[in-house]
Amino acid sequence: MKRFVRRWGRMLLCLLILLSTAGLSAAGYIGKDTVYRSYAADFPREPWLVPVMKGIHDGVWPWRVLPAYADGGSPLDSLLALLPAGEGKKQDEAAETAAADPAEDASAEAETAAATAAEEAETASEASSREETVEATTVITTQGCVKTAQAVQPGVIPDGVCSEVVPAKDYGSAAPAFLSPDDTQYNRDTEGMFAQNGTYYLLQKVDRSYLKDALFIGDSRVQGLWEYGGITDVASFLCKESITTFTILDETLQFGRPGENPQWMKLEDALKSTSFRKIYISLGINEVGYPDTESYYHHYRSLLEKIRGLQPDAIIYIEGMMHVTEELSRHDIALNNRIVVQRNKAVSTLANGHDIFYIDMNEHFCDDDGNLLAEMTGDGVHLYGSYYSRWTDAVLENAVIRSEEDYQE
Amino acid sequence: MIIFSSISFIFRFLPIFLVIYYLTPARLRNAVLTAGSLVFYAFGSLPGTALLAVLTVGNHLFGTAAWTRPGREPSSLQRGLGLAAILADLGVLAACKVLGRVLGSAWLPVGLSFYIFKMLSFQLDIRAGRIVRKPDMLSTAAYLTMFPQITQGPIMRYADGGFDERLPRETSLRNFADGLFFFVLGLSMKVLLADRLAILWSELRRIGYASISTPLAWLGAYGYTFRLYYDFWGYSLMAAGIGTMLGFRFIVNFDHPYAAVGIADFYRRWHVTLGHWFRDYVYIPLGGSRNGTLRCIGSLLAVWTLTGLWHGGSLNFLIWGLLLGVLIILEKFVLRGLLQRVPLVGRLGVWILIPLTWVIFAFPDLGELQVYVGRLFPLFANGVAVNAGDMAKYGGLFWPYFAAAILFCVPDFYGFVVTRRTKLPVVLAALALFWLSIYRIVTSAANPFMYFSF
Repeated sequence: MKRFVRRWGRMLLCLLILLSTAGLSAAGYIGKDTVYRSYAADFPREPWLVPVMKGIHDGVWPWRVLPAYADGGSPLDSLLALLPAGEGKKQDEAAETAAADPAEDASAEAETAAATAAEEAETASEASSREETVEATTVITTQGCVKTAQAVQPGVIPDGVCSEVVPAKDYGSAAPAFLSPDDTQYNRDTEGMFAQNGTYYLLQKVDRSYLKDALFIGDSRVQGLWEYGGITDVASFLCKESITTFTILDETLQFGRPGENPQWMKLEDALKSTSFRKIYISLGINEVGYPDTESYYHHYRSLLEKIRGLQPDAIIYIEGMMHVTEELSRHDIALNNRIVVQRNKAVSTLANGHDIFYIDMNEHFCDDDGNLLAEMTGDGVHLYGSYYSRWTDAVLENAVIRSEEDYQE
Repeated sequence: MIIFSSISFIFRFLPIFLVIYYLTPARLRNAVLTAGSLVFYAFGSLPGTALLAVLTVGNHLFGTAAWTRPGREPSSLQRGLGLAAILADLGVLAACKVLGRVLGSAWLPVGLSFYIFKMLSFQLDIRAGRIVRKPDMLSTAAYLTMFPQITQGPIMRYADGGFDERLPRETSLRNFADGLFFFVLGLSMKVLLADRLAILWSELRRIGYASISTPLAWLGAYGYTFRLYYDFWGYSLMAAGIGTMLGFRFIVNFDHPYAAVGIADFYRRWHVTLGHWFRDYVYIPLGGSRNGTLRCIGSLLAVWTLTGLWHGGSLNFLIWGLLLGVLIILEKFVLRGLLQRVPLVGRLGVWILIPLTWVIFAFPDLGELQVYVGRLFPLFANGVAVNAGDMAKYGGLFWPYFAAAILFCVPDFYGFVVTRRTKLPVVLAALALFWLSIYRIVTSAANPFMYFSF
């Protein structure tokens, strides 16, 4: 008997691996139409345990496939429930599990993006009436539509404006490589970029003191600007890598202010804690893989409304996503400049020229075809540390001054 | 699938192959191993598989024609045939390397350098009378194509056994269990250490070498050092583990190199099968250490030039190889007394010089190498837009991987784990590492729709 145990004891690891593989595969199979639906289990290309692993990554534990735990909770909770002392903890954990369910959130959000956006718009408009200036703009993607962009003629100064009208290219390059494909039409194309009240602001050059009440919000690219852009001593940053327009309101971000240790906090808390005069937003590259520009537009819009509600006096700059290199763009089905340009074009319509502006700095980093120059990047997406100062320069060359409160030289 | 640390290999190819292999009678297993290996390799590239098959058949025909019974002198025709096979193998290796340089390394057949070296050792061992039984076709084919070794070695010798009845394979539950344990251990090293540390290296690339601080440059050099070690050691353990599951003897390819007392000692412990290959087929035939100092120095330089070129065709590999050759010559003829009196000097040498040599190894672009060395030793070059806080950031992110990497460099720790591999705590730890590795493989797979994280 002892020999038998010793002999098979050697096989324990093998048996455990076999059993756990069988268990996880069964979970994947059982949950393929329920909890793992959103992972699009691709059998037979992938084994059933792959969606289970992806689920764990998003906090969806395998026992959720069991009917008893379908609504959250875990076998551990059930055990704890048997102990009188475990009551409080059980409730806490159950609440947490129920709250954190990004996988379902992701799919649900995609489906009800418009509804969410509308709801948030309502909430935000209660907080501030400025949202009304951002009117509903529909983004239509149709084959063969004629573009209706109204190019603003350089040199023509509209009534009530003392300075020259900013040519459309300053809100994004006018070169064909920077424009959206012909089959894409955005209603109110450039119209919304300019102020509703007839005031036109010229983008102008300022010095870095302009940024002393500025906040940069965004993903790893903004993180790079923070670390290498040379403005840590003046500007504030709120960023986290892999952030998207639909996660930015929920996740904890790194909030860095000049001369202070960075803290982790949510966007809402950061914007409640300090008021800013300028807010730069640079987002989008982490979600180019999501199929639709319209939901990107709506999430972006919700974000703007949220920010506007919390910071009524700030100039909001929508920074067009920086393009990627030609090599990446050519080979990647999602990370390509066609999609980046399309997305930029969509969110540029959110600018109103009054307190929301769109700035596109791709001219500073791209070749004539609109591809990020390969010598500026190691991975095709992020600038080398030594090139972030160009981003800083681009920001300082495209500043809006509405009043003396915005900037004093 | 051609990578061991992939879901399709671990959950598809390997289990299916093992079931078929174990259901097959022992005498047919060479055929199963060959067929399975060709299928495995074909998932990487079909033309590559054709080349491998042609080379295998060619080497077998020429090799067996050149083979003689032990003690009998081969005829001059046999010698000629053996030499022709060697030259043909070398020619294919050189041609592919040149084409790889011209057309891009993606064009190179996977594992070419490894399997050509096995073919060369096959021919040279026949020539030297080390293969005592005339191999049959399937034995040769199983040896040359076997999938555990085809992509990254180890460079096993035919005479190590397992291919014919003289030294049959020993399949047993014990071997199977041991093999699985080492496979899991190797998988964890590769996925949980090497692949994580590789992220640090790509972060440095992303920042741009000119903009990293000197402390971060050193952290990067050690990160690269450990990444290389656990990548290759992990892969070797996986290969040896699969081999053991199939009944072959366990092949030691890494023997705690970072516990070495000098550079020469380091390379006796690093990629052992390649070291032995060069020792047996280059160093000793050229005179080795028994024919005077000059011959010895010449042999060492030849070995290290070839070692450099074997790793790649660009100049940095040559510099890397020659530098190691010079260091080993210095150790052997100039510093020998000092190293014997104060072993700490040798140990420090390993921990300081070896990472620096890996930096040379890392950069085929000498311009980039120069920038990186400039950041390691900032006396001669200034950084551009350096963020002084970068070391704190990346040190904070990566210290657990460095801690684990250093821990596994301690031979006693590794020995402690390995000798207790059937004890419950170690089994449970291995199970946890296995699933953690699988989790990492799944979640870091290139899936642009779900896992962009910039």
